[in-house]
Amino acid sequence: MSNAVLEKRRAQVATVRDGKADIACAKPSLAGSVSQRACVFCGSRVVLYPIVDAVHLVHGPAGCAAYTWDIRGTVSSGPELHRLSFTTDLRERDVIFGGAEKLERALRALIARYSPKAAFVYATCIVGVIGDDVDSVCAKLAAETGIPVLPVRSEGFRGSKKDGYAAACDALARLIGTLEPVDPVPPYSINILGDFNLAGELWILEEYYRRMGVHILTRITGDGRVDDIRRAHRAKLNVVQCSGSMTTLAHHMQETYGVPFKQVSYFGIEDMSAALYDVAAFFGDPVLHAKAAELVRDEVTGLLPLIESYRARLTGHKAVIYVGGAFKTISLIKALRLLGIETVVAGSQTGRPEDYDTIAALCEPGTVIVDDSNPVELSTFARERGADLFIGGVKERPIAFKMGMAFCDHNHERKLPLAGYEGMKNFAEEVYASLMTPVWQSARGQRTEVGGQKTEVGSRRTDDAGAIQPSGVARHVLGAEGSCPPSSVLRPHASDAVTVNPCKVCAPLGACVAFRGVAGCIPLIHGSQGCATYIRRYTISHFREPMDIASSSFVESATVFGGSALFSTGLDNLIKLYSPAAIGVCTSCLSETIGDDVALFLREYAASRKGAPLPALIRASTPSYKGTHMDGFHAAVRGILAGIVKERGAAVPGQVNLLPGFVSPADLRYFKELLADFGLDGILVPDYSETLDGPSWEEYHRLPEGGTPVERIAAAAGSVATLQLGHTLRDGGGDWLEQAFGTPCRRLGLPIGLRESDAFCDALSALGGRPLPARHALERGRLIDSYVDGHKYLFGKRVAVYGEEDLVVGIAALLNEIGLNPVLCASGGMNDAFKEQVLAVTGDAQRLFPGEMEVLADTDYDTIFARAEALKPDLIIGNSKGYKMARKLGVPLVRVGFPIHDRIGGQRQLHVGYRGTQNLFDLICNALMQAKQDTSPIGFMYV
Amino acid sequence: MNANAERHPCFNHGSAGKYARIHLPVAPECNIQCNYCNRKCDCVNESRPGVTSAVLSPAEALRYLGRVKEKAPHLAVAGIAGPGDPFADPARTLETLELVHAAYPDLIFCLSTNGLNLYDHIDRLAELGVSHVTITVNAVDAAVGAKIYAWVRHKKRVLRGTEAAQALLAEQLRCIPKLKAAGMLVKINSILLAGINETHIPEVAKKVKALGADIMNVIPVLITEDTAFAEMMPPSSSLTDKVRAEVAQDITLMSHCRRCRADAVGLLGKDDPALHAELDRVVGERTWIVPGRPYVAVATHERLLVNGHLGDAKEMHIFERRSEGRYGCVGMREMPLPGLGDNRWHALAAILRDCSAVLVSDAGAKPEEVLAEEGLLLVRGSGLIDACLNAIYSGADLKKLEPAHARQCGGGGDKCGGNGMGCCA
Repeated sequence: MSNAVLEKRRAQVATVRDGKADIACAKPSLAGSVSQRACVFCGSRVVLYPIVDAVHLVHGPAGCAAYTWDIRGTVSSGPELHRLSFTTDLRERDVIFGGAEKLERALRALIARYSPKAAFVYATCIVGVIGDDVDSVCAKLAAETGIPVLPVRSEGFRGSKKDGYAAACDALARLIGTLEPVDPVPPYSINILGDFNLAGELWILEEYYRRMGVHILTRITGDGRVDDIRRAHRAKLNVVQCSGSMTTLAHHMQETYGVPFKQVSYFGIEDMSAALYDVAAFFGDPVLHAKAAELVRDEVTGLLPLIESYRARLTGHKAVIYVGGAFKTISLIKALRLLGIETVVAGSQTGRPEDYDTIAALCEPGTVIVDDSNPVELSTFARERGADLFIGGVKERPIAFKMGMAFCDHNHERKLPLAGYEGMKNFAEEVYASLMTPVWQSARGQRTEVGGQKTEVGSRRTDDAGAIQPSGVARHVLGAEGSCPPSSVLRPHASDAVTVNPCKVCAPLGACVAFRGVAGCIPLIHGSQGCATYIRRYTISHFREPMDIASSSFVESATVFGGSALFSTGLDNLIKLYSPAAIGVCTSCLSETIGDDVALFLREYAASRKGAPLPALIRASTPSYKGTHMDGFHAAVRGILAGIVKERGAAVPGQVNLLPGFVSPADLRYFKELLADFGLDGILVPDYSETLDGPSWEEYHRLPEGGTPVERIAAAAGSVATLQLGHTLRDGGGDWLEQAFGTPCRRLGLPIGLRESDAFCDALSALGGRPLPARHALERGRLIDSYVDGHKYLFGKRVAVYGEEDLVVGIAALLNEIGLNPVLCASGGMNDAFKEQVLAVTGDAQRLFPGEMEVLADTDYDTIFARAEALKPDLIIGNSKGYKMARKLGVPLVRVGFPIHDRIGGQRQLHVGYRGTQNLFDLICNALMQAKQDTSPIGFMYV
Repeated sequence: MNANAERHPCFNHGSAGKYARIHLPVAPECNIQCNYCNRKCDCVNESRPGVTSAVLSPAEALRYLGRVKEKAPHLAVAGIAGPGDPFADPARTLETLELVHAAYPDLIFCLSTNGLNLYDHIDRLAELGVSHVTITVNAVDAAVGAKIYAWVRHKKRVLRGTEAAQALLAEQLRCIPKLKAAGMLVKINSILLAGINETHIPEVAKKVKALGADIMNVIPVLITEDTAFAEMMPPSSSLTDKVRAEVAQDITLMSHCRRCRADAVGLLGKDDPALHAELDRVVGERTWIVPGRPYVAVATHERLLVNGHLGDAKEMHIFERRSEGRYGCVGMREMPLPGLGDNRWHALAAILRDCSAVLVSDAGAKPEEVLAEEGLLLVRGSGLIDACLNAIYSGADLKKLEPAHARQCGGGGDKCGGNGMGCCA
């Protein structure tokens, strides 16, 4: 294990001996260690999110809100306000002049529109730095609207996720005791604390308590209601699960209102039963106890035959448990033991010393116990201990899957109840299914080549080429005919101070994806731990691949004194842990706002290493108040080139740079094939076709294979041309290369649709000096043939399309040439070229369907939904985030772009060229044909 | 070398093919950590020192030896070679030797140790018929030793670095003359670690020879996973030969070492699976159930889970074994009422005369003591009753059954309700 564990993390890893393990914990994450932890904001958001009748407004740039929009499995029996994502979407101007005024307007608009029972305002990193007086704004709005408006001090750098729990508990404490119950409170009344009603788990528990004769006064916070919480002080007992998040509140209620509490767990039959008996014992009523015993007997008797049959088949398997709270780890060890499965690695993000003592006492000698771990450690320990099952969350899933291990998601995104006896049954079934599936016969023992290109490159030039370019944001884009009002006016919330359901994520996400397209490159976000964690989870859910991203793990002192020390520690640790060929550094809102000079840090770091071999150091400036993930992506591409290309070099005939933009790994593979078929030697920047869509592994690879090698990129200036894709892109990497070294840049659209594909192939043909190769000509021919075959099903159908700017332009170009009516083309991107480019590729549609098309830039899903509702499309094209709209409108959704979180294979979706267009065309045709078939009263099977 | 001694296969190459030996795995603990050693205890496919498929109690060791002796009359030697060190917990080792010596006075006894904590026991060992002792000495210079030992636990203190190596070395060196004075044959094992002690081992040979050691064995290190030396290159055979040749100039060399497991049995290098099966048989016979007391009393709310606290339980449910892994409840007995002080536990014992154990979620130290006097084993358990009974009936480690927060009550003074419901109830 020696080289998997950084020196400074050694104390946080221990091996059980004699039922004991000497382990350090409750420490800040080590910079550059790629912790699985999130941030303060995450902790607060996790706790308060399930309150379903409150407005949850994230005061900050849109990313923090986007990553927490409706991804958890927490469900409501009534209102669903919690499933919306509200953010003040701060921009550069707000950062300079303050966001308090915008916050005030946003709150006023939201409270007026949704009439919530309360509003929570989450302060993000940037708010803590620019010093918005959130408390005053909240107090003012509370007085004005008559509802509680509660600030949540959740700046990411203020500590760990646990401090976020405390901030949330603080907000809850201010609610509790502010209302009295209307009806007398039954004698056996309890509050349930720390269950978040994931997949309806709370309802299962509620039913158990009901059968016992125990009344639930308040649920905190699963399926939570503001007014119930305000009355919670009248319960006789608080029953606390997930003690890490809720103990603060339980102590507060004990001290302030004399409500005692009990800590319980609902996972596994042992702990579930103890929870019921404990409540019965608290009230001391033998009837309650007898009912609990009867319930446990019934439930366990019903479950045992199943458990025994699973145990017979599962005994001998070995598990890794790595979850957020150590209480869950403890329950899971016992639950697995019931199934005959031994836990060989057990850890948590936030365990306390006493938790680890308990874990050590439960585990066999030799079990590895680990606090605040990371992918390198977890994969190493799992392999060393011969584990074949992993219990964790989305971030751990690719570690398990890549190593051929079974996996059970026990985190908040899960949609399967795992609490109670019913949950134990589900858990057993899930574990069994994942361990026993025959796919392991194929996946295990399939060895792939280890070790990407590792090059040692000295320090890099660090000018500003990798920064997000101010895009001269156009907030109001008019419809095609100039007839539509500005998009902000179209917003249903009638306020440009608030973004509802952001149609974008943050800039560092795009940068990290791009960095993964350089061979052996590991991204590092200079900011709070949560930025890296949220981005990892979000991208893993789409690509279903490991996505290690390091963080400099800001703490409060760094925010005050600058993050230079953490930054260089982070680089040191990353180099030790990954031996990368390159490190891609991107900034965050926080580090940009406090003014950390990353260029200077990198120079100083390189100088301090005194000629020691260094990875290529690449950087991009990516504050999210200045741009979206698309802007971050392009900034990173520019940063990659500017950081690596140093000289013009010799001209290389046949060598072409391709800057493809944010397309899918399948698209990248297709581009490479096409280039080769034209006899061209392509340098793709970036090329994550393998790093983000790779094969199954035998051993965990710290850095996945693939990507364009640094030395290839270094030769890019010698290419005969750069092909830079994306009509809306300005100041891209190709432009930089042209300015810096005179490498000619050809600017083309994303080749979606026949015409754009033709333009792309023509360019390749000119560069390669050969005509369209025969098999591509055939693909082209078939595509045209299919246009004809399908046109009857398509003509005039109304389509709404949304997503990244250039993807929407590309799709619009396709819709235009196949006779569809793109009634709505929308993007969350702030790019002012968007409208112009959509108009440029939709001439036919404008002619055929005059005055029908609306183009919205810098918009949010709330606006898109509202406009779609009015425009009544027959089909929606975009990423998974449009599902709710499609469901509401009852029309099909063809999933393209990023993210695809509710289907498998987003990374294999082919969009570009004749082949990709064919794929999209068939999907579109079939979606419309199926919709017609499904809604027909007759239901022909021959259409 | 006397006639008896010549039958020891490890000390005499000529007898290796003729006389069988048995290692009694009674010493689980170790008092030092060698950087090359990993005492993984459960892998039957791995054959190296420090490995055993089970650890036996002294009584079990005697039973095991008896059965092996019946099957293998040519058994000449019984030894204790771990899996830890025989003197990390000398009581177990001495008790084993006493039992075995009383039953088989003619058997040759040997021990393999690092020498720590050995000195004070040498006279007693001689009385118990131990005639061969092997000490592993990898260095006679603490600076070299510091590279080999991660830590040494000496006189209840954990030492590291040179201090650790020095303490160990001092103990080893003073033992050799005393062992010789007690009339024993002394073999020195040295683990050859390329890059660490290959030039140093000849000095070891000189030193131990001077102190009176009889024979020396230079063993190339066996690279073992999950150790500090896991990445080390094993010494080449030419290096091994070279070092051995140098050593042989000073001391009799033994070079037929097979690096046996701590539970090896049979001829050297030809472990006998039929004999090894006897070890499994002894383990399989383990039980916490005493003859004449076939039942276990359980405190449970619903006869499925162990969840009653001893002080709180109103009744005890009496379980019996019906077949392998199958248990059933034969009845229920009311607990004596509280308020009798210790007499309550004596009264409980009186109604549980047919039980070997009392299985509860938790209990105070006092009742545990009283019940033990009465011949009742108190077991703290959690989870399914059947799983706990399995452990009790099969003599497994009962510590693992304990609920996560056991043994935290009873000492709470005023706060303690004695009901096992936690101190804040």
